[in-house]
Amino acid sequence: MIEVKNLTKVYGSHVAVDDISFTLEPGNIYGFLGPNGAGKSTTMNIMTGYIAATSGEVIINGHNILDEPEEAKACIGYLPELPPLYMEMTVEEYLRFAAKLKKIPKSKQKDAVEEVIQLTKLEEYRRRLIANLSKGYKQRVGLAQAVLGMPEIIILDEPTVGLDPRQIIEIRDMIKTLSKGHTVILSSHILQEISAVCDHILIIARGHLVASDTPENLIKQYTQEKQMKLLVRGSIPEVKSVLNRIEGILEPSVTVNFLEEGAVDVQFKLDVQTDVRETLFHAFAEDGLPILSMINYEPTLEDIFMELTSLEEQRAIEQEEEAVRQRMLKKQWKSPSKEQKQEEARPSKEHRADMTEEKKEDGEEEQA
Amino acid sequence: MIAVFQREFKSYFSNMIGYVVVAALTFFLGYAYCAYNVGAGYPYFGISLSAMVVYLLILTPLLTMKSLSEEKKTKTDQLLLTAPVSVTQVVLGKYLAMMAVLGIPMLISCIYPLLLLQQTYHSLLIDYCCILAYFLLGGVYIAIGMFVSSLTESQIISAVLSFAIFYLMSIMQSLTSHIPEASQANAIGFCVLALVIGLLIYHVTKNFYAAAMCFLWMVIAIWVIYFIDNTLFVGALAKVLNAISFSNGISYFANGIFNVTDMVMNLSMIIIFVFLTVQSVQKRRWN
Repeated sequence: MIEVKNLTKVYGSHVAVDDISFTLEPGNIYGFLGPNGAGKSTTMNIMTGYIAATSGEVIINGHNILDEPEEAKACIGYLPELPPLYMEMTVEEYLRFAAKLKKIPKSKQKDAVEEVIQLTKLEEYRRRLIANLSKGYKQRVGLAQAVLGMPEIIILDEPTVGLDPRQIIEIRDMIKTLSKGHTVILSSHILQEISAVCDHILIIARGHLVASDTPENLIKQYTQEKQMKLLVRGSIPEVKSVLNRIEGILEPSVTVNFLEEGAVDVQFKLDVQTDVRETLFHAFAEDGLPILSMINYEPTLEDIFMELTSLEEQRAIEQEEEAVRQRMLKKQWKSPSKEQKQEEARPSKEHRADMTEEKKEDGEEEQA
Repeated sequence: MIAVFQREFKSYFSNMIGYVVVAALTFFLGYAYCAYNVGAGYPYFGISLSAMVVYLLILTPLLTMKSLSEEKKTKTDQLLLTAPVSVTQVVLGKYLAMMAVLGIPMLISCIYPLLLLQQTYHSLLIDYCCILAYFLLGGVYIAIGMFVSSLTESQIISAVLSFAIFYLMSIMQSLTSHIPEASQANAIGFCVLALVIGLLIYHVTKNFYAAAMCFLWMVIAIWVIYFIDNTLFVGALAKVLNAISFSNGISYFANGIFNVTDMVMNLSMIIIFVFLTVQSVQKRRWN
């Protein structure tokens, strides 16, 4: 079990991770999701004890990573963003070295190395120098190192970067088989990967943990509307009259389709829970308008990801603007002249307006 | 620690550096033996060793330059620092591996006193103590070089900086002979030294007030002592700086004097710089 409490990491004036807290239970696959530079790698580096947090703590199976580093680190296998490989060693030498570092008992070292070589399908490459391996195979060696000795917690930072599609599927399968009895944490900015593998998703944006739930719950929680697209043979007024009879349709738009003569494109939004496909079929059939195609866009993780991360982005920009404004105000207070005093009145009004806007937004989020 | 030691030791011989260092030192030791002991007929092997100090200046930076900087650059330190081993163990493993590489030519050189015994009577004990002193001097250079390597990500900077430091230390005695004796000049010299320390503190901690306060207190202390008893400052700077230049200690051994202070000095320098390296690696994680 991993407990992360109020983790914060500050680099100079840049806040990389801002007050993140979560608890991870064994037996699950967790996905860290976030845009580039969101703080995923930093969080993982802190969890594995590579770097220290500015404040907050990480507790691995009851051991604090700072107070009892050796006990805590013994539970973790870690594949960093860049696999930490020694180019002058062969695959087998490297894994033997990693086994010794991880304090696997001498009698079991050989078996442990053999096991991960089989698992990552590196048999043919065991005597090759790591420097001569392709990127995908280097990634595999890194992965083999992370799962060596089958630690309880396996942390993988972007494990499928640089792999071809087939290898990606192989590694995904491997991760799934590993999850039995282990806690697996993997980060990615590839949504399909996360939604295909993970039981639980943590979305991080700008150093904040903006959501943490199962993929299904996330979709339920963060989306209210979905979209439908239809291609119908008929004229615009005919189609519009049909649409007016159907309840629950929001923002309908009807436009002429240029590819198919006599057909129109229909686009509208509706509530996630409602299903109007059959109603649509009957309504259009009644008026003798054939439906040529109907596409139902169920909301995806991508939509949620985009929404949550862009919200965070917006908030960060607003905060920055706010800070700049405050600084300007302070400067003006320090050297007040008649002209500046007049200017002061205006920004403070804007400031108040912004505050109310922010409050509104917060309220909206809570509703969601 | 043993795992790190084995890996490091092997890595020196999977590229050229290990071979170059061992071959060069062995060659120059043999050359010095031929020149001083065979050619000029000195009955002590220590004479040859004291002439070999200059090669340590050049060869130890080769050993130490990549020890920690390379790990940082290629991020392989992530493997070491996230493994259940302490930083001290990692640093000690690396240090001992470098000492082991240096130890190979030292072991080879142990033959020379025996060869010398064939030609003339002399004390084997003095010669072997000399070899030990030379090895320890190499150990000090390696410890300093490793510390420098932990400060940077570039092998080149690490090598050049270590060489500069070693060179400065080795010419310290001739440098200090130019320092004036007068107490006032010495007090000013100490103030300059305080400024250098203050700047170093600022560079490491990035805390202006801490560095400024350190500098200020040192300057105040210097001038207080100066006004109490200014005779203390006569030639003091040269004495202090000479104490840091320990490479000349080997000449005592060469002349058959077992100098305990030098041994203690070298050992404590090794401990201090290994400790500083551990701190420097630990510090990386905090900023």
